[in-house]
Amino acid sequence: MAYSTFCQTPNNAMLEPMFLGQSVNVARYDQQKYEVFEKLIEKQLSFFWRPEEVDVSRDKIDYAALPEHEKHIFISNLKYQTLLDSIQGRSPNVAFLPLVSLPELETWIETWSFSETIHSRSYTHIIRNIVNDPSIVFDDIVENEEILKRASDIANYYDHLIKLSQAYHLLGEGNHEIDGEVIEVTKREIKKALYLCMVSVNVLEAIRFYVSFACSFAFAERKVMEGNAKIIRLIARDEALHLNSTQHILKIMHGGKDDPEMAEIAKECEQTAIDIFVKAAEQEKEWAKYLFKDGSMIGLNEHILCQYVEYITTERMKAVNLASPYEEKSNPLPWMKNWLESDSVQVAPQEVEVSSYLVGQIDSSIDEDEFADFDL
Amino acid sequence: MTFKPINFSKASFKKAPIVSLQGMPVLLFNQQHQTLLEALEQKKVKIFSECRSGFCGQCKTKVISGQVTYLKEPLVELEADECLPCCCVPDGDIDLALSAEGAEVVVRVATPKPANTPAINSEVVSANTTVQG
Repeated sequence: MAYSTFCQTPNNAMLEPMFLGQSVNVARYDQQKYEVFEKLIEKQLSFFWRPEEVDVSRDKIDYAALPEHEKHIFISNLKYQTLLDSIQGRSPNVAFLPLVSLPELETWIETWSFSETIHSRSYTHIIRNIVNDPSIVFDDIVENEEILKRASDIANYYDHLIKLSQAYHLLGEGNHEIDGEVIEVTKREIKKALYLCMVSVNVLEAIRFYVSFACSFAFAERKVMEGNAKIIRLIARDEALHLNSTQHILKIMHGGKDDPEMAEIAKECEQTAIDIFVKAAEQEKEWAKYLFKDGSMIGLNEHILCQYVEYITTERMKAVNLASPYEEKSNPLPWMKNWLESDSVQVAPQEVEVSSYLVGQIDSSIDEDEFADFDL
Repeated sequence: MTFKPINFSKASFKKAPIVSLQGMPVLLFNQQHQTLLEALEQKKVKIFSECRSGFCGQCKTKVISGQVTYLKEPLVELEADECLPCCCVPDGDIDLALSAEGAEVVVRVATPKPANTPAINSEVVSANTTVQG
């Protein structure tokens, strides 16, 4: 099953499953099996922004005035987010593209991953502005144990999937000895790795990011580090879209209409999926402890942040039909809503209150009703 | 992407839709409310939301009975019995599968008749307190 970038066997992409069918040949979008991905692409493109558009110069003054323990909270979060987006900027491409078999989904994955690279670039923009030597921050990401602990958990699912699919494309199904280790490669094993990887990506975008978001917005609620919060707000808007897409992919997988075997696997792996969610939530709670080890900040402490992690985990698990072990509670950080609401995201000064706009679009649909109040 | 704005001159003929939660009437949807989500929040109904403009899908809610009209096209694939309250308005009476627990609802409370007060009081109470009648 060698991978080809342009498979010459004619096929009807409308009949292929999302993954592991015949690889995409013609990138055509006139017919689509799942239109939602096309809509996601359009939305993501309309969200386009660049970090340089946001003025972060005031943040330098704010940062200098922060007490040490708050500097620690701020910088640690940036490090963690840098790690998350470093992974997300490349992994969906490397892991999912060789397996995808629908043109609209292929393009969505590329668009999705591209937007994550913008996030990565914006962290450099923020960090360059507040510290004199950005290397101190970036170099610590691969040394800081608290960050590394979680990095391996996130990367594992991707790495396992990539290893299996590479072996599959090179050697086909069967037991293969790679680096002295025998691995079993079957389509079913790859599907299982893919499903779990998708769950872990969903967790990453749905829970892990939100801990840092909460801290960034908590600073901005106090009117400090507002440039940073503006950028994080744009990032949060993108992440909400990505979250929607992974939830949707998972839902299609659960449904079984797309690939009956995938639905079987999803059912079989239900407990593992729950464990991925819970482990991530527990890790994030530990992270909250690390963040506030030298002291809390005004408006946010370890306890509230842990409550928020549990709250958001329950909501996210509900969205993909998994049972949460945490009890239902009301939102412990009600002000988060104001920051996550996308229509108050300011894109450009002249576009206040409009979060997305398409240039050169004309509304050409007109309904008969529009003429109802016309008198001649 | 286009969407059809609701025609209020037409809508005004209809009575304001009653929004119920699991059969319990909770609010009257009138023109003060922009969206169903806003109306629910005003009554302190527990509902999770994020982008509030139809692309994150977090406020997805099951509809037990009734119809909604979208103010803008939701970016989320919805089952026939689901709606996105952040970008829709009810089209006639609607019953949602949300819990009314903690919501501020107006209920008629039958009170033992003291001499100079009317027999039935309309009171705003929290739904998780004991309610009779």
